[in-house]
Amino acid sequence: MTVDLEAVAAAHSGRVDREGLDPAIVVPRETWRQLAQALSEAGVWFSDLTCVDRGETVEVVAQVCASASEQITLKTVLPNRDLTVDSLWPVWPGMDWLEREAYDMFGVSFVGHPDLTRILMFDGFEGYPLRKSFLLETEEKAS
Amino acid sequence: MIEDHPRVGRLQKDAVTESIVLNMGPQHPSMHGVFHMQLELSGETILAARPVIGYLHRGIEKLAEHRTYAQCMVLVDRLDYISQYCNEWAYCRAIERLARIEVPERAEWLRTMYAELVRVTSHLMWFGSVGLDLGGWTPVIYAFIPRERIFDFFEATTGSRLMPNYLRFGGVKEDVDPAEMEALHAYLAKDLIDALDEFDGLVTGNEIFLSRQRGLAPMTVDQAHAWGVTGPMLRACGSTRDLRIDTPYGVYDRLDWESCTDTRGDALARYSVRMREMRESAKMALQCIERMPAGEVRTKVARVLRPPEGEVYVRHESTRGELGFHIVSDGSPKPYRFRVRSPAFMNVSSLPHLCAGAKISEFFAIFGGIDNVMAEIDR
Amino acid sequence: MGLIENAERPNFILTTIDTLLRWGRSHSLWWCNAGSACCSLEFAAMGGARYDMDRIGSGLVRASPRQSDVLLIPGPITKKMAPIFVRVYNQMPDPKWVIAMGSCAISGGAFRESYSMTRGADTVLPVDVYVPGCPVRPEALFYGLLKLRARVRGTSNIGLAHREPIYVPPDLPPEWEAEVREFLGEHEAC
Ligand code: SF4
Repeated sequence: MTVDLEAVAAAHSGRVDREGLDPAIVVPRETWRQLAQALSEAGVWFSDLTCVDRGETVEVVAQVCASASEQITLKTVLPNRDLTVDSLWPVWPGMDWLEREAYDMFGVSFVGHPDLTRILMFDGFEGYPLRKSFLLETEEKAS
Repeated sequence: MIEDHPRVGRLQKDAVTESIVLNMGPQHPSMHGVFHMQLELSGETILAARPVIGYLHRGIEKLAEHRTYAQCMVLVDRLDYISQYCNEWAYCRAIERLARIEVPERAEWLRTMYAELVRVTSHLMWFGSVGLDLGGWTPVIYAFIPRERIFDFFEATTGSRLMPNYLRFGGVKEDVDPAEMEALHAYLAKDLIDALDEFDGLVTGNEIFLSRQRGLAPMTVDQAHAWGVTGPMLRACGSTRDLRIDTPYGVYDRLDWESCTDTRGDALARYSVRMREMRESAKMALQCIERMPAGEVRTKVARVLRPPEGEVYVRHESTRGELGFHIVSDGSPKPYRFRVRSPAFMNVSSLPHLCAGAKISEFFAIFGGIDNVMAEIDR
Repeated sequence: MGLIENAERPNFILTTIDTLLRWGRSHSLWWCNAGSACCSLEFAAMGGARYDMDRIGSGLVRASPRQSDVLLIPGPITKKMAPIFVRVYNQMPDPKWVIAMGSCAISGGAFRESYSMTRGADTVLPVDVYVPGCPVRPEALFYGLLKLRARVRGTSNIGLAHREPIYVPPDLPPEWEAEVREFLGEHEAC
């Protein structure tokens, strides 16, 4: 099965980015869950969700597979001052832990997630380790 | 009359027990590492389960951002320490795709051979621990005999039993001594198969084992997709997804083998898929040894690699399922973002669904079938 | 053993019992494995057919810390895990020993700079034997175990004095190497 990326992207006010190694659909965060919903109804399954800290913004990146060998990247960009996006848990229940991890490591809140707590670090840990602004002790000493 | 007794009478009328919460782990003999499980029990039945992970979280993803690409290989080895070569290969494939590095023919064959050998050792480890989980010591003692023999080969050819650091971008570290390969060939062709037959005789036909596994924790393909389950667990529900076939890499498309599947979807199916996979892997390793062409094993790559700007996501069939490496490069010698999509992480996240409604004594039988590695889950 | 440990002056009866106890203990060092990471695989290999710890009476990995003598730390101690290691240690009955296995447990190893790691087991627990390696070879762990056994047999239990840790050298000394090999050599066939 193949998905018409351009049509899907256009329907969710996004665009298709073909510059990278895999095609990516970039959508605004308002349509993030609708996009996932539409894809899931077309039989697409997910494989990964993570974030990339770009300094001013944080990208939420999901990897999905349209068929066994066809892979699509979904992206949405969140500004640093407001890291909230709709949770994909209602679409793919397996997103549960992936979103908790993204919350734990980047501080992105997923609206609608049933149990958004820290998963890898202990409760009470301060800071979001994978943000670029989080320094390791060695770096702190060096600077 | 007993009903008239103030306490017994009430119990009989509405015999509901209060549920209790049981904490298992993180220090627990059969927890396969530091895994913590909160179980809500009503009597012996599991009402709800909540895994607590992170006790082994070493921050590998953050550390990798502070190392050069080649140095990251050390961390990659320590992710899933039961299938090291698969990890290394997946990571190499990601970097090679990003930096457009060609891999010589012989290196591909060598990588395939090592990956399949490590799949055998990994499944042997799992076989031993499944025995332990169900209360039998024998499988683990037996499973270590072939494992040690294959480790001998690893040690003789790569220098380390566990943490080889053997794959390089654009090939492998060095060629393998043909005498070692010949000895291994003899071992794989006969003794390993004998050992596997013996294991089948010990466990697979064992009536107690069968009755504890049959029909346990069933899962359908749709559920597996929804929960993100991959690898042998997914193939045990009838799916044919196997990245070695779907997105061919290495020399899998040139080997004569088949992907093992089962349609029952229960714990026994997971067991049988892995047991058959060991034989297939041994067969593949044999073919690799026989048909490996001569030639270079490594292309020249800059010592300090600077991949062009961009990002890459590579999916790889590790022993536990889909292992993904998502690398973002900013053109510097260190990765900008180093993300590992861990198969065991996703498989274990299905555990609450699988064990709801089961008995507490079945819990470890279910858990053993997942074949988790905490180091990879927690990273 | 409160009576013996608190006895102020050793006398003939106590020392004889003490010798017996030490002899018995050194032949049945039972493990409490708080198995964490890669090194615990090499520990598992010690239990397997080739290395076979059972031959020196250490084959039992007890399910409960209350039944064990030696706490093995085969891997990193993260900040999340450290309180649990302390709890497990506190549950073990005296006399007890701690083996830090692998560079992670000694100093944090490959993950030393990380935000979630302690810098070694001795920041949380008193460590008796340090076995270096990443991963530790079973031979090296065997060496550490044999050394510990000798220590257990040689140390009086009358008044538990401060114990100097044992440092396993990265390269085993030749005479010990020979001894370990001899131990393992008998079973080379498997
Ligand atoms: S010392 Fe090395 S092998 Fe041992 S647990 Fe640490 S990283 Fe793993």
